[in-house]
Amino acid sequence: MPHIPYLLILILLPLCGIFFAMCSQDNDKTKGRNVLSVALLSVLANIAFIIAAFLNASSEYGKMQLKETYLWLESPKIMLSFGVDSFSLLLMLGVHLALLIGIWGVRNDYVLQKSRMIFTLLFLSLINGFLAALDIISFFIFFEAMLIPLFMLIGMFGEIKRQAGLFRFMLYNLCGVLLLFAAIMVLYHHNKGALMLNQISDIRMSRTKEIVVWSSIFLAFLSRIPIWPFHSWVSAVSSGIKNPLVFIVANLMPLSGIYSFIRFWPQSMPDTVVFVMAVLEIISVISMLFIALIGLINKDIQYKIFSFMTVYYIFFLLGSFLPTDQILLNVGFSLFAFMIIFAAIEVLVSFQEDEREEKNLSAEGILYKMPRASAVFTFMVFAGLGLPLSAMFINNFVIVSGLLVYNFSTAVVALLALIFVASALLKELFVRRAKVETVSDNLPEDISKLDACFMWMVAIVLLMSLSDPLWFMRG
Amino acid sequence: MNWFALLPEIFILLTLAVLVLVRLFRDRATPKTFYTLSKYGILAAFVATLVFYDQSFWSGVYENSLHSTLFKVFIYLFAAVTMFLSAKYFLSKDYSSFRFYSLILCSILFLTAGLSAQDIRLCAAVLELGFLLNFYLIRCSGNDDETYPVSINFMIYALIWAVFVLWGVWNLTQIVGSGRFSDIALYYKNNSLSWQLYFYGAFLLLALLYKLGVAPFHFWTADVFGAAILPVGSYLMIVPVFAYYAVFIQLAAEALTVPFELLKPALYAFALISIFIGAIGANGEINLRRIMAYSRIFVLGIVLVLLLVFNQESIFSSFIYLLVSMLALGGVFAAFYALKSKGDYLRRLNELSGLAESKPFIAAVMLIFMVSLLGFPPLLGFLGMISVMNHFVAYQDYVLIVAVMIGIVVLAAAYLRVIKTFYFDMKRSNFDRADTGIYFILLFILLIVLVLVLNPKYFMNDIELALRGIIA
Repeated sequence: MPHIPYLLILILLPLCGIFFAMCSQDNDKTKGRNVLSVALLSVLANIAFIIAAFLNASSEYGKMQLKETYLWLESPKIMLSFGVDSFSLLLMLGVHLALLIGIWGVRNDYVLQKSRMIFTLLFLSLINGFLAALDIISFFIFFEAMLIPLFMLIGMFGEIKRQAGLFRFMLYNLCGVLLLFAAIMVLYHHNKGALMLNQISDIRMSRTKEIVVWSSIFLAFLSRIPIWPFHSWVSAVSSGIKNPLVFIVANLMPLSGIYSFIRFWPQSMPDTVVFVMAVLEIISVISMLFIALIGLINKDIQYKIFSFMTVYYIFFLLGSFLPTDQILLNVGFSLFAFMIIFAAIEVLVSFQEDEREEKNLSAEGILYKMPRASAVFTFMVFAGLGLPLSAMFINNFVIVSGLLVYNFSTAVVALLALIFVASALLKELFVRRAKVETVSDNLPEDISKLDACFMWMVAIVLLMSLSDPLWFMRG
Repeated sequence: MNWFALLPEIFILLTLAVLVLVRLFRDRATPKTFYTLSKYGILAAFVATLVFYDQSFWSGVYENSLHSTLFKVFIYLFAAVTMFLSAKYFLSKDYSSFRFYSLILCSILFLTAGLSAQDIRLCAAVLELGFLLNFYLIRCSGNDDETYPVSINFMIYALIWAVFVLWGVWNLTQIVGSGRFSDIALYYKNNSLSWQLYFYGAFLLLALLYKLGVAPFHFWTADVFGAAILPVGSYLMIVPVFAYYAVFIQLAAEALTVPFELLKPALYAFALISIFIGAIGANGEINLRRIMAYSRIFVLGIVLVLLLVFNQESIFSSFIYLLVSMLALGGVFAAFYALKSKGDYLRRLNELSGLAESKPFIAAVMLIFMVSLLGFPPLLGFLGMISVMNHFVAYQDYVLIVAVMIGIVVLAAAYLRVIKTFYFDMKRSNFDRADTGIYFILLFILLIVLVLVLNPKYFMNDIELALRGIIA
């Protein structure tokens, strides 16, 4: 059977989509439908390829498969290597499904649909490259390049009130990226050539060099996660975004930070930098608690979703640091469901907020008059809380148990933060579902049957992932 | 004497003569006429340069080599593109383009002659003449109020430098007894270095930095690029850089090695100042062309610092970085030709609010070129940046790594402001329709920036081969 370069296809297919999107007509007559179809088709085609890639791979964590290598430069000699294990493929699938839900959520927004879809597809292509990167150079290329579509999407469609915040956010991320660049070049030189991600921990340098390099890497990855003390720069942007697709894209960025930590920060890192792990653990739990509390008292639903996501992201980060590789697949399963859930919640909230804004309604009891939206929203919120409706249920239990076994105090604080964000979301759900008698004729319009059907299909995917998201794989 | 080696220069001289004749005897000479003639002249010179790339007109005085040919090729290519775009400008303004095209041809003649010169007298004379000629180029304008003070300032400083350089060259050749690079290098090597000898050599090198616009000699650049008409600005921004850069390398390698070594600490400081002035200066500007002028200072700062190590790898890294940056800057300047409202070429940032709404392609290419200038992957600029960082890390120059990183972040702030104006701000003015030729050129540069990065190894190998001779 001929070798199919699945990973290259996964990177290039969205770029082909961009080409067709640019060529397609986008005027008042088409109302962005052509561009939307191209984007949906590109994402669906990529999902098909991911599933095909799954069927050709084994489900074992850490076993890199479907490897592809390309010589890029001869002086300095740089090879770009790609490969995936079930963990990265699962994240890829999760990202695709989240973006699919996001694209679905903005399908009726015709303004500048072409630009929106082009930057979204560009982001998709780059995040695929990032998740498939095997060596440090290709990893860095995609890690940095993701910032461009993100900045353009937030700036053009995020409806951010204070653009100075967006600039700070970008420059802050750029600082992180440049630190990583310098660290990677030092590692590359030290190794005198191509360096795979799984070889980084074997590199031994002088003590000072090790501290500087690993601290740079640490700060670079931290810049992607809204963690104390820089959380406000990220949160000001991420929680202020009104467009659901852009919100989803912006809030996928912490995933890149967590994934980077998992790939770079293996179980056996140099002894000289063990202190960094302790620092990270401390600021992680502080951030979790802090953001969860703000989410609990903040009235803005976008901030509540943001805090829910951030707390979970940090929870997954703590889980991935546990000294066992076995738990990483559980983190992957949970992340997969989590991405889908937050995307669906964001799209449904965005729909409700649009209705509220258009008809000048209060949030209280808005879902009471929207039975279809109410049912799906309730399902998604319950799934997000970790009830037995998705892969988050079992896998969160495993992560929490792991945390309790290896670091009891961290686990207690993490659990407290999870309870806070769960309370915030539950409170919002009950307020919105409350039975309120309205005398006005200005009633909110429910989501269409098509939308409801789409959302229930998403719910089915979540239910199917309940015991094992990789049920369809051999082995 | 092998006259074939001089054919490119002869073709340019012939074209100049034809231009003058057309000006004198043809009743109706449009801007396009002078462009067409210049185009064929440049094409002929380009072909002759490639064919006679290894032949010498006068051994030891005027020689062609792989190194000089490489830079001449880039000078002709960038000049041809500038000429093409300038024709659009002159057609839309209905100015006479004779002065512009004849001056450009003279400038190219002097620059290419400087590249082949192996005698310091000839080299200094042609480069100084070429630089002084810019005075007339800057004044190619319909608006004398703006360009007159700039051109006078430019002339005063250029003349002062020219006097110093010619005085230095005169004294140096008197002491050495010859003007040939090899004789000068030998003299420096075999004799103890007096302060006079050091200063004569240093003047020549510093004069080249002044012409390049490296800080602290940068003060003329932003004024000139900001005030001169677009064709002049785009020519001066890109084309002469290749010649001065190549001559700097040649002098440092073949004639003034000893003064260059002694000058290194000062050059290191100049490079650092350039990086910071370039990045900070760009943030304080609202004129797009001045922002790009400061970006050029930033780029040249990095190029200079790479040259200080002065071995094959460092020259290669600096050239790659210079080339990809000049491509991106050239792309941005090409896009400026499409930024017109009611017949006027726009240059202020606030005039370009909401550009993406009216001209999505132009806004997109400017975005790509600016991102490439910052060295973001997966664009060609990343190739330059990886070359630079690889070099700094190899020589463990961590101060420079930090300086470049800070510079990039500060420069990025300036570019984010530009991108914000184009994409996030509301449209304020209506833009005129741009010529198809401008789109064609932009697409061409865009393809180079996007495609070359996919498989750069062949392109980089050829350049490495051409540059290898200079240090070997």
